[in-house]
Amino acid sequence: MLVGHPVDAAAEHVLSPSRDATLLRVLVIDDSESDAELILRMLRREGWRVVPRRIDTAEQMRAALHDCPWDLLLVDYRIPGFGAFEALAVYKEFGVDVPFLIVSGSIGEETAIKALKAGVHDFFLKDSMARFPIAVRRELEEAETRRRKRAAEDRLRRQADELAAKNRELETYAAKLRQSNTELEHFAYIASHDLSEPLRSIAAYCELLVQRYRIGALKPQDADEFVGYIEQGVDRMQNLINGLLSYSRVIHAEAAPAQVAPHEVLAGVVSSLAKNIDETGAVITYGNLPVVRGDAMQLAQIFQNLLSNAIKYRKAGERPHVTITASVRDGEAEFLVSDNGIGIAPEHWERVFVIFKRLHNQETYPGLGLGLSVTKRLVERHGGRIWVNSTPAVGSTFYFTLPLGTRSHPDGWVI
Amino acid sequence: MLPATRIVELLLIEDSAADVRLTQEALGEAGADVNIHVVPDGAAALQFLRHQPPYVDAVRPDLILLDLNLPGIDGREVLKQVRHDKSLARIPVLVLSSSTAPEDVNGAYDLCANCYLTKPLHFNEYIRLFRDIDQFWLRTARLPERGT
Repeated sequence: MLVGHPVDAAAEHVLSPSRDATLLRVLVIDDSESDAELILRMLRREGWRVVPRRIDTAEQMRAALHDCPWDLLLVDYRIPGFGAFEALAVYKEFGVDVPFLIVSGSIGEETAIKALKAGVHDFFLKDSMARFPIAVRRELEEAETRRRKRAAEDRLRRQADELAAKNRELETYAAKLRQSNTELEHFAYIASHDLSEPLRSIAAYCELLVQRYRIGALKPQDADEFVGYIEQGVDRMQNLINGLLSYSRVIHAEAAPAQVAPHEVLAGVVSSLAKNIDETGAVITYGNLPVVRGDAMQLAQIFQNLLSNAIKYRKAGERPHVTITASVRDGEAEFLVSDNGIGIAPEHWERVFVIFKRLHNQETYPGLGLGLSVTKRLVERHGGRIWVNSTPAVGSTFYFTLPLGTRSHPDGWVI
Repeated sequence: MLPATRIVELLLIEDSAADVRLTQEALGEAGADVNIHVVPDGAAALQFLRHQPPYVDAVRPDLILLDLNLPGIDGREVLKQVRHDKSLARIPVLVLSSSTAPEDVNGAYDLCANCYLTKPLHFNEYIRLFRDIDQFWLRTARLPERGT
């Protein structure tokens, strides 16, 4: 009897070995019916329930291998028109692993060795078949072992792949977390640093006021000036705190990506800047702009920041002219916001996007230094980039890219 | 203690009008004998030091008080340029900053600042700071001759 190992359910998918351990599906490739019958009788005598098919051409073999699973292939070495090596070739075409045994009238030693090297499992001479049944049993067991091993390897490989995929996911999250932590540290440092400046001013002037007052040396115009500085400090802290809050909100804002028409967004932005535009006589020009994938409100913020900067940093005594154009390249829309303002020197082109870094003092151009850092975050959240090119005293052009059409954003907006 | 033989010309490079006034008050309370010249940013500071317009008739300072955190050209850049300029390199530069971060302190000394001072929170401490500056830099240390 065949050793009755319980067949592992998972191993079944590799091939379908017969569940009944006594069932033996034998494909006999022999042109002699009687020779075939002899061998099958031998197998039946050993206790197997033999289900045979006899074939003798390549097409029949292909058909047989295609039709159903087999447990054993018995091949006569010399069939006119279809030899054992041809049969082996067909067998290999199908990539199955079933014992392939040659049973032949005569076979030279060299041929036998060649056959074994080619992948034949064993060979027998028709007139000395004594060890045939034992050999069949052995080959069936070994085939089963190989099946189980392959199944186990497949399982392992699948698990390894899943693990690798999970690791990659984890690494992505870890990287995001690291970046988020760095930003948080940076943010906290900047917040505390930039808030302590006006606080110091407030504290010092309160003390100075009180001191002078107590010794009766406080002149009214000095009092006014000192109180003025205190109020300035308070305003500055207030503005900074509000600015930081809105910056933080922008970074964490949920956004709903959709198809957005920039010219519609711009129309809204221009009307919200109406007062500024009137006061300065600003001229805003824009033409056809490509539809982008993004959040309409955030796009409005981007344009609002860039346009209000262009108007604010205008040349004294000149109408600010701002032009918005765009081009399409590599599935991205590249926007240009050009102005005729005071410009930015090359050494500052990167600094302008850093939070709180300003190029001018509060008296000439009041501001917090938040606008461009917020704009940069918004553009980057859309998967785009932002940069500037400028000639001092001539003007500046801000470039930013936004995705067109179907492209998924790193944050997971699947489009 | 050496008496100051002449009024010391002090260049204060500071963008905050509030801090400028505080410095003036504190120097006054400290009794320092100085002429305070104020410039609001790095670019103006370099123009002043190089006698470029609009500071063509500027006097060469004996001592510079430099705020590190300036808009536009950063305080560190000003320090670097002063030290690189043969006619300016000898002028003592006292760095004033609200930062206590080691990178800022070390960085200033790496650029050859003469000393690093932290802006205090309380006005009394401001007075004491400038009294100390007056005591050391204007009454104890010898200042170099003004170059051209």
